[in-house]
Amino acid sequence: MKKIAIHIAFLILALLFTSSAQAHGTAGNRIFPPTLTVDDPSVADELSLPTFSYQRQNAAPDGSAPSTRTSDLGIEWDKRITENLGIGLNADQLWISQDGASTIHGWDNINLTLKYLAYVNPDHEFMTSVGVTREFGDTGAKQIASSFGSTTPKLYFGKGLGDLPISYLRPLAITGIVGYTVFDTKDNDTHNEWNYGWTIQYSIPYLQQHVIDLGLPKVIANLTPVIEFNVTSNQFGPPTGTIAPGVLYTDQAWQFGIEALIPYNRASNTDVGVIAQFHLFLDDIFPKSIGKPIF
Amino acid sequence: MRKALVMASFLFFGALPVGKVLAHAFLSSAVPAVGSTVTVGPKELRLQFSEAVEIKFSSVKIITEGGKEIGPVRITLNPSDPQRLIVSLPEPLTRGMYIVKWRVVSVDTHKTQGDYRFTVRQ
Repeated sequence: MKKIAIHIAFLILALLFTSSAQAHGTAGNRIFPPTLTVDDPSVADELSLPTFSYQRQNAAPDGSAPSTRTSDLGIEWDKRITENLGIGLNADQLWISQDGASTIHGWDNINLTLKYLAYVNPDHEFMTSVGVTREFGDTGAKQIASSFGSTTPKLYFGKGLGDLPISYLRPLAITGIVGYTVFDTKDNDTHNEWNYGWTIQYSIPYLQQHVIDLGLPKVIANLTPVIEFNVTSNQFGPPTGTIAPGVLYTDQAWQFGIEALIPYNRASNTDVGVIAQFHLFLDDIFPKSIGKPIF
Repeated sequence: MRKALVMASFLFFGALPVGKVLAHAFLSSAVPAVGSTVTVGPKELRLQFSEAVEIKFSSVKIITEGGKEIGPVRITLNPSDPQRLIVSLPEPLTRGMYIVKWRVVSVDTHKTQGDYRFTVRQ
């Protein structure tokens, strides 16, 4: 009942405070593209189908856990309810293998995110959103997914540097996210944790359209080099995470991105992996049906 | 579950439009070019967009470095290319730096806006 009341409150807020927001993560000249490991601050009608990643987790130094290799094939569907309020549904199929044992595979738990685009400043290419992600425990395969869920309130932001005086730095932008995950368990081995993510991106489309037209061929003019940082920490150990440098190619109605997954530090205890994503902008593909807000 | 996913994927991609999608209109190129310096003051600007635009809901402003708006300007759509806006000026631009602020609505009603600069150095 309490959750329903919160959802209704979000809906009312969205209807009361409509801004000049648009799909595609637009704030003035700036478009914040969907990034692969850090959720962008916009609310949009989009589909990531699929996102694929592969990474090897090294054996625990004390020998308590063997090394594993994880492949993840994920789907994310983001749907606007109103112009500024949206939901996102994530589902991931995992394959986990370890030396000397057979591969296990199955669905991970389902995640649902409610996100509200709270403020957009077109002149300063800034936007911020708030959201909450709910992992529904025991919705995945028994051998893969945890039996308990979690709730993560989140704060998102995006800032384009288009107001810098040095023209070739104006295509730069940063986005970020801060969240705190509360698990639905009293298990002594599971601790609530902070999640931090941020990206630094250099938009060549911005360079071409707003700074200087270098006459670049389309294959280069549509690229956004990006580096993403994802860190998780709790009070009982060092932070762990990934650094993901890569590139996004954004066309009118779709985007392809590929990045390396580099361990954030020694404590992350992983090898270099890879993540790739094919992304569809549903508001461009179906502008009059599933690509527009419900209300 | 896997069969359902495969079927859903087929259904989704089968429903994708076969022709060109109706997307946001972004600036593809301009004359004078974005960030360029020209030696002859233009009497007309041309803005090429990535999608066809609705002339009724589109506007272009040309502003001097000092903040003065040049005008009145006349905006027309190239009859043979609905993705190209032509901005006719009352007289050729004189020496100086200019900011072009555009705001357009594509034919599928997506709104986009942006700006860029160019310089006239006679």
